[in-house]
Amino acid sequence: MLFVEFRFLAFFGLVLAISWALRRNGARKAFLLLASYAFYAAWDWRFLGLILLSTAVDGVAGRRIHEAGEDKARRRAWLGLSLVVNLGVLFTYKYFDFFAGSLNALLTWLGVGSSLPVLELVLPVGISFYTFQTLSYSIDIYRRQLTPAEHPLDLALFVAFFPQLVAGPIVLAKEFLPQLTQQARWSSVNARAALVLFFVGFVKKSCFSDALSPYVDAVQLAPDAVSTAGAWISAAAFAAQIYCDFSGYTDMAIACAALLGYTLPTNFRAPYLTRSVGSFWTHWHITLGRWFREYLYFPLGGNRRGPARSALNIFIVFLVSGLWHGAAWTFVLWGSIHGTFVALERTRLGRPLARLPMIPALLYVNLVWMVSMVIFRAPDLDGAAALLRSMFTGAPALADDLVPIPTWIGPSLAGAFAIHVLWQRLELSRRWAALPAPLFGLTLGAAVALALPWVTANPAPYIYFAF
Amino acid sequence: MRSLLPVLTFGVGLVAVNQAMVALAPLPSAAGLRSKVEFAVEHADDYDVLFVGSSATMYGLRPEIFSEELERLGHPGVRAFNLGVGGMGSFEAAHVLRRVLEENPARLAWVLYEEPLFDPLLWYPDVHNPRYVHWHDGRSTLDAIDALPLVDAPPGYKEAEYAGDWLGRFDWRLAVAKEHLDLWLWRASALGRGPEMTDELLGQGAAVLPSQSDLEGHDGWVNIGQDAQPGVREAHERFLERRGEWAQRLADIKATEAASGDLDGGYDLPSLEALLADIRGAGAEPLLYVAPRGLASPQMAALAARGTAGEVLRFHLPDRYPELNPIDLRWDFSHLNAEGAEVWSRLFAREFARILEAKGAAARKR
Repeated sequence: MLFVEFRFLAFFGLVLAISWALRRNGARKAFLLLASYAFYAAWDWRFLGLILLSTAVDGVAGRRIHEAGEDKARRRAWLGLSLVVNLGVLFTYKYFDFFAGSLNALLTWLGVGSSLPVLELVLPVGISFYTFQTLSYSIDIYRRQLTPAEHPLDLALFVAFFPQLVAGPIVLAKEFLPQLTQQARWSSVNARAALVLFFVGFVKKSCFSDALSPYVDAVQLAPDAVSTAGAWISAAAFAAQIYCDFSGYTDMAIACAALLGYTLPTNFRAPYLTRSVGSFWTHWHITLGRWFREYLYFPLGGNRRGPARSALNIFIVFLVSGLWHGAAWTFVLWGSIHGTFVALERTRLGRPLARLPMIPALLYVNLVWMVSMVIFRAPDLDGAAALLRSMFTGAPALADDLVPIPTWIGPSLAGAFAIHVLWQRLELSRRWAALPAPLFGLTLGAAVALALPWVTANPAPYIYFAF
Repeated sequence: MRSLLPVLTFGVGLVAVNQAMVALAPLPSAAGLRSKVEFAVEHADDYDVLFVGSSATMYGLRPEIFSEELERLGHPGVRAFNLGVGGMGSFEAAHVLRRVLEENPARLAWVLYEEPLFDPLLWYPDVHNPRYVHWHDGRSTLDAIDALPLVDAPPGYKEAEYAGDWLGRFDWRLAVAKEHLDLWLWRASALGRGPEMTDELLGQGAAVLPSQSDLEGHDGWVNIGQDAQPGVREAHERFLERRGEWAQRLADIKATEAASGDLDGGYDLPSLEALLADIRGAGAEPLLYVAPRGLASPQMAALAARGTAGEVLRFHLPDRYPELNPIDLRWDFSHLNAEGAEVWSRLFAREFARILEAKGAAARKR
């Protein structure tokens, strides 16, 4: 059930109406939990068991960690259980085949000929997101930054809350659980701002991302059949597509949660307008960066152990971040590239980059991003190499692209650029929501009517659902 | 009331801009639909006779020959336009015709309408194709849904799809009705038409064929031998390989027509009556015909016998119109070639002159 589908709009309308009709906080939370499970079951009900397992394990572990008081060994043991179960499930479903396959290839290359089994399991949607959320719960209790949820229902709703269940933003327990202790009030909901955010997210996904996707997909299927210009256009199109896709989803998730009376953290702040790769990562998928900073970078020592160790820690974080996105060598390479750039920017070599004027700095960041995203999007390293060859060497020298460039790719890219740059820079959401109510209604109605013709017939699944 | 005001203004903004977007959405250009309809609307006052039908009409009736023959028979100055479009079914044709009639064509005296079968099924696998979307205004959608109880079975390849639909589990017709409503929603919201509209605004839309000069030169007739539409040449080659089957086709038509009975409640009479009323409301006379497209038409036989729509000219009957039987007049099993079109146009003119004279005689008697 995609946020841009009519059935989601019907589902959400129903959930919104019933949830605000329920007067008691407990009943409201129970209803939202059931709705969240129903939402997830619409994807694949079989994987609900994994969410329940994760919730139960962290519920027990969190409470036991808290109850262990000063008994460090017990606290560690219960935290260890949470880590082993959550990461074990994640590893089994997402990474086992990748590591087994890679090991098999290595052993075959060495002539050992050993063969590890391959499980070929279906990847449960959203597993990387909710696993990180539940881990934050146990770890924060262990660090004494959080007390266990007052009621198991609260924890279950934190894990499964449907607006952010399948693709974030990655919410931390310490910022969400306190919101559940009090009854949400409609009077404190900024409905107009939420509606604008939902609409903008809808436009990003349905009108821009889905419009750009067929061309990007076609180029990926035949990377040798595009000219240099076509390859660059497809790289730019994918950069625009993934921003519109993911930030569009996030906008809609934040808007849905806001309409239900809850606040989710910001996930994007005009990343393509940043002037260094390091800065880019504080503006793109902000909640993932925050999670890695708090739960991996700092535990590794952060920047407290000297520049060399700091650079290594950064590299490790980005390597793991690459793997978080997917179990493939393309993601490992992609993460390594970003880790290298961010680490380099912090050394002497990075100083000239920091002094670049605005336009060259923007070009630098966007060039690194576009080129690395070719690797990110490619099905394998060979596919990435083929497209990069077309981009940089001009080979093959095609007079005409065998994958024709659609005429509306220009308007779609322009629209994506406008919504990224102008929208955020001019704070148009805030201004729009602040209009007098009748004018707000009129303009929103007109904007919806303007957007509908650009909605595609068959919405593609969100790119980040695959992670 | 204050809290309802933004909801109200939302509706106003939505509807107002939506109307503009729907108006901007171009008609589908496939099979010449767009250029023909736009030409017919623009030149609505120039014609006395309008042929409305499928590709059999588009390729098979040459208005200039028709007019020339009428003149020879003592009816000078009759100008006809061929509004036949490939793949145009009755609901689509009725919608297109209404679009032309809205212009109150000053000279239009006759609408010659090909075989109105009013089949409400959606046969194409891609239901949301523009050819289906464009005719699903409120009236046509309801007409098509109303006609569903008259159909016995869905297209074979869609049976499983309808059976799997939650509405289709009650009755497969409900699943088809849902498709029609979906198409109405698509049309009403101009959903998915943005890329075409953008192309149009940028002047980079697909070439709209036939060109206005071609249409003007032949009054809407398209020479099948020069048509570059997909599938036209392939159909001709298939026909050449299997031309031996033509005689059997003619025999089959005779057998089926001989066995045809009553309409048996399986025909959409209300839609037909509404169509006839619309034509008469525009000051024209309707005349139904069956094209010589190598197929029997038992429903039109029953309709002719019933007399609801007056005389029905059934050019597909091999015994009644043997001039159209020679295989050399055909491009493929369904269509006449340019020579065949000339023969049929003259034949049609002769029948039409007969009807005009009969009407004139009846009027004189009164």
